[in-house]
Amino acid sequence: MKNILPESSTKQNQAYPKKDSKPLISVTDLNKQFNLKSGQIEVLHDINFSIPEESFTIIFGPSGSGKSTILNVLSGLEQPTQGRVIIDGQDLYGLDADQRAYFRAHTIGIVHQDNYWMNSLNVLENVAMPLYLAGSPRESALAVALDSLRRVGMDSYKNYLPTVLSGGQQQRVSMARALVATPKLILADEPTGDLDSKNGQMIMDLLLYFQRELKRTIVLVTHNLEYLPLSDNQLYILDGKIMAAQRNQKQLITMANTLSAQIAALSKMEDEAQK
Amino acid sequence: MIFHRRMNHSRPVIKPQILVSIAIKNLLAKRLRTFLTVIGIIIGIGAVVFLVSLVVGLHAVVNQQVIGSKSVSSIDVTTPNDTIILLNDTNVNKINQFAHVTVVAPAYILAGKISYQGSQSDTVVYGTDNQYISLSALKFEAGQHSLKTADEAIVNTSLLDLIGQMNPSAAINQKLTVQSTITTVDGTQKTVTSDLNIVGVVNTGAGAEVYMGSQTFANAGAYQYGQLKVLADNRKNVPVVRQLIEGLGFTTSSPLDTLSQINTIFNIFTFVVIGFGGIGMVIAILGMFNTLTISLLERTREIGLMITMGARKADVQRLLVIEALLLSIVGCFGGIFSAWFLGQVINIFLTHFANSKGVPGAIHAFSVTPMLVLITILLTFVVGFIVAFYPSRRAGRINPFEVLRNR
Repeated sequence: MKNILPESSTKQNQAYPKKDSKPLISVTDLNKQFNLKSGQIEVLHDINFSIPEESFTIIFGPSGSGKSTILNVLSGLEQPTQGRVIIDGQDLYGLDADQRAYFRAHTIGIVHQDNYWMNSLNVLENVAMPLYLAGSPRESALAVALDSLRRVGMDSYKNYLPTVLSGGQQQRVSMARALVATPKLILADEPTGDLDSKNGQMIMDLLLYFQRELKRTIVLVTHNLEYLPLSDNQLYILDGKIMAAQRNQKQLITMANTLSAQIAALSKMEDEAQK
Repeated sequence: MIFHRRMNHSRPVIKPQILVSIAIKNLLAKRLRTFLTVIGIIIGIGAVVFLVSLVVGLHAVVNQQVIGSKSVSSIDVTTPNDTIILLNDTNVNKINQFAHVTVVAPAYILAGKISYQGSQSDTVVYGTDNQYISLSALKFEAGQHSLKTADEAIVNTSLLDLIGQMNPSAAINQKLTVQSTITTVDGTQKTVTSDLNIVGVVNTGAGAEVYMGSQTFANAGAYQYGQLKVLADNRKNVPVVRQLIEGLGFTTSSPLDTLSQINTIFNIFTFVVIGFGGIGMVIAILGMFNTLTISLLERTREIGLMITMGARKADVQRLLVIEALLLSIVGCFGGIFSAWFLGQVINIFLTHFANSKGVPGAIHAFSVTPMLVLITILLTFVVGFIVAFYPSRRAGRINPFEVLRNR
């Protein structure tokens, strides 16, 4: 596939300019390769960006573009092949696995696309789990967890097993869990992916509430372009590369749509040529 | 780095009581599987404890029957040749001088005849003193436990059977004539006749026996004893004292010899029983291992989730170890209790059966001793740790990224 990117959308756009806030996340020269039986596959290539504190950032792109891998690298779960990830002044991969776990427990809340639970625990205890793991006593952890559930309007379901709740309810509980340890950073991986538009909007409203009222930094991965106007910053990922990083949503959306259409057209042409 | 400085201090970790609570909930979430696993452990541990308690109980019963209330520090001394090595006062005095010897009690042991209300029977006559009687640990059925005057006698129930006197209490204060033959220092044999008053009755086995004062025989010229009972100052010194006495040419025996033989037999018996019970135990361990491994495979995403929420490798491993220990502990106490309960039921049944057949006292064929309980608990803890080792090591290697991605 030939390069269809305009020159202006490459190197100089790979990092956000610092505007009025210090960066919470700083990613430098990030590369990630997976070793498969068939050989190595490069999923992230020379990624550079920074994300300011208390901002709402959306990482978007088509399926398989590498956006979830970026999120896993940011959460300390996926060691990069190369590069540095600094979060809140800490070189994340300068820590060993246990130190990263401790850092994660205090600094990062994660919302997954699929809902994962400790199946033997009820909603309240699932939400309290990050606090338990951070060493909080049981009673205080449960009290904070109940507060967190109240924020997402799920406190009346505290004694339910999470798996009996609807998808939207589970996602709200999942967000209460991500928020419970008062992390500076919340990473959300397509939290609206399996939800209808009403529940999806409710989750987006909660994320905005976390950012604007609770002053958290939100990084959301999605392939849904409708949410772009809600964010402060956007990163467009394609084939493991940052294609665009903007603060002007309209311009970015236009560019993303154009690029996606061009890619689709090019792929179609290549397929026909092969035939 | 700021965070590195913070990390160097002891970081707060999940409270053990919370881990235990989560482990209990995890086990209860799969009630049937947990129940079946625990039942398996109860059967395994119960089988081992039940069989070992039988060996321990029988061991105690046999010891009681064989040794009775005899002091294990006592030594019986006889001569292998009464013409060359004489068991006389000279040698008694020598033995009395040995270190660690506290009591030397001699007894003439003579063949004799008893006459009672016109009938006669053969008997063994012990001319002795109260120390000898005391060291013999006789089982008294009636009357006094010692001889106070030279005309008093203690007889056994077998003798009463021979003379047709079945009731031990009724025999007290009955008159008896005993004729015994002694050998004097010049080799001549002499008959000594004594009219005695029965003051005590003992239960000592099959043959007729009479215990009377030794002075009668000494006065008649008897110069050699049939047996000595020597008491060492403690059990540890018995071998030393025996060695000294055997140095004089005498033959010795001790309840310790019998104890040692009994212990050897029961030790072998214990190993055999543990071997059989161990088969059940191994099956229970495999069941527990299977439960933990399946539980781990089912919960890889939960464990991945715990790690994404900040769990350390050690937290995850501890959770699995606690689950294994909980299974072990419940199974252990259940097994011990079941074995104890079953043993008690059988003991009660055996006691009733024995009593109905005229054997007095309680029978403790099954005995769950504190030591057995302690060893079982310790063993269970070790087994719990061993069984948890592989699953917990595997849990510690779970890559959260992998397991959460592969939904």
